[in-house]
Amino acid sequence: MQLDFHYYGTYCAAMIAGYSHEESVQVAYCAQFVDCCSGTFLAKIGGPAAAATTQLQLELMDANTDPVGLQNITRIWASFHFLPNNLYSERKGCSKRYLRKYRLLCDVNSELLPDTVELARGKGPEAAGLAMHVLADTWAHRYFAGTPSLVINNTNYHFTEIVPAEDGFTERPVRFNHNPTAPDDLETGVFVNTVYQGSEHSVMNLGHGRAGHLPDYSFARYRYMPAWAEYREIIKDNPSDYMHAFQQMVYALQCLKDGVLFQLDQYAAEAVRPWEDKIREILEKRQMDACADWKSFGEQLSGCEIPDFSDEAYVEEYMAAGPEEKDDTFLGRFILAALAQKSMVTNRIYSSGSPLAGISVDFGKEGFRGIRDFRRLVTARSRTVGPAPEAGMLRSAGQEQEAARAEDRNREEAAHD
Amino acid sequence: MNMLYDKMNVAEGRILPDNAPESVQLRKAQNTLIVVGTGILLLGIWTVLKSLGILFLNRHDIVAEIRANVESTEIVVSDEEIMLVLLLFAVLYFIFGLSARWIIGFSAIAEGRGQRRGKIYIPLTVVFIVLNFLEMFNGVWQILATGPSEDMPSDSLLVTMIINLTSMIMMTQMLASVRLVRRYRAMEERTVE
Repeated sequence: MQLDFHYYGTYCAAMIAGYSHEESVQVAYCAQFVDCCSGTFLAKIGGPAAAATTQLQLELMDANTDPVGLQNITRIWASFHFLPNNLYSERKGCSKRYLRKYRLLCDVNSELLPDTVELARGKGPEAAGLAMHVLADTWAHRYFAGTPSLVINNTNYHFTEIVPAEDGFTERPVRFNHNPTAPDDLETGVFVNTVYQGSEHSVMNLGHGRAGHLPDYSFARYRYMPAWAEYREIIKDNPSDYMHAFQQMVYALQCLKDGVLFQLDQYAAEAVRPWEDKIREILEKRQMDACADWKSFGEQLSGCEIPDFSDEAYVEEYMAAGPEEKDDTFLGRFILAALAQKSMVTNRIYSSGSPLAGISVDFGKEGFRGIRDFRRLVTARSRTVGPAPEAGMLRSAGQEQEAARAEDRNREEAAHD
Repeated sequence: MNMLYDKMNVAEGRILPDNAPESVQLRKAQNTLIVVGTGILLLGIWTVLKSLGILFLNRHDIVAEIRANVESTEIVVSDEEIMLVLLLFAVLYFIFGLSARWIIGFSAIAEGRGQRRGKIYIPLTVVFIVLNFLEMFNGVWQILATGPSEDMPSDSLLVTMIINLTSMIMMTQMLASVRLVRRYRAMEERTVE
């Protein structure tokens, strides 16, 4: 996804979920910041390199693709942009090596998504924003894996775009070129993607590079044949997926705000309904950048002006803080959230028997060891913003509904009496 | 518009992917055609370059052999004239040897992409399979006839046999894929009618 949905879209979701304008800006900022917090940025501000949530194109070009380098790449992309759906999925007739990569496939309602959302509970808008980025990307980036792999992520000539026509839809072949400086041409259906590389672990085969920016366009619908699908084709309906992403974000933010346990496959459709047509209009409009439309919608929701996104907004605060105070700054809290998310996902991948994201150590059992940057996870004080719900107070959505019905019954009986 | 797959199954306004077993098999066969067609192109380039390389490196020996044969007749030719004739043959071999394989390779790729159905490349493929088989048979015969001795055929013969075997397998697989593609396409056309 792009800045339009991650920043402005998340802002709108937070407003609908009941957050204030200031909180919504902070949540949205962190949702977009996941795409900016690279190793280069962290080096500039003196932050821990292990907290990187993305890699720039230049960093990827220089990245090693030896086993350790691949683990570093996978840790970042699988943790924040391609959350694995099912780390224990089975597939017949394939090697263990292939199966490990297959299990990293991103899809919606991942078994790791509740953990991602719960990691943000009581940790403030920074962690919530990071969780929303991960959640939203599971919808846009589904069917790709956050590890460089030709046999998983490759696409081929079987790629058509489904465009609106007078009597419904029509299909036209997508033509890809490999000039990264050339813009995509929505009129003629020419898009930029990464060049084909026969090497299995080339960074050209990371994520959705072989499909170009199509997964990140909210209006795009396309039919293609991913390499892992054994000649089956997939139709990706981005307007539908993005709408689901938005509704699920609203639901997740409501859960974090109201102390309700996050559950999979739940969407705040009712809460979004008053604005559904407006959102659908924005999602389906064929434009490369929907920032203006989302911003206008967000300002209509809040009545306040949404500041433009700048990755430098909180740098001064972080750099001015002393070593002991950095974790209490805005970026410091984001960094802690990033380390926690990366640690969780790496641990889950490692526990499933896959070394693709590296080795994970249970700090509780074996004490701290490994990458020094993660020590601050062990030593950081738990933070809450506002009343922190204890574990026993968390209620499932079903329990919430039951409680609401019981309240209604009590109210009716009282009125009858 | 040139669409490879113009199936748009519209059910309640939704477009569904076409993953019927026949469609999946068709895509697999088409992909095989494209891969094998590309392989035949590359192998063709290799074969022709190899032959020309042998001709070039052994040109003096060949000229000497031709001269020895010609001297027994009354024909008088110079070395340069013999070389010119050899060069002419090399060019013709390059053109026709490569052309035939390129016709096969590009036609297979085009049929794999659903663009056109060539007629000439199938019989041409059969001819090449037969030629490859005869060449391999000749190689095996040479090895068996020579037996374990100092005059054992060189490594290049063995490599050539392996390449010919690979080429034969690729072309056979190509024929099988063409058959599958045309069968599934015929099924599709019958379904549409």
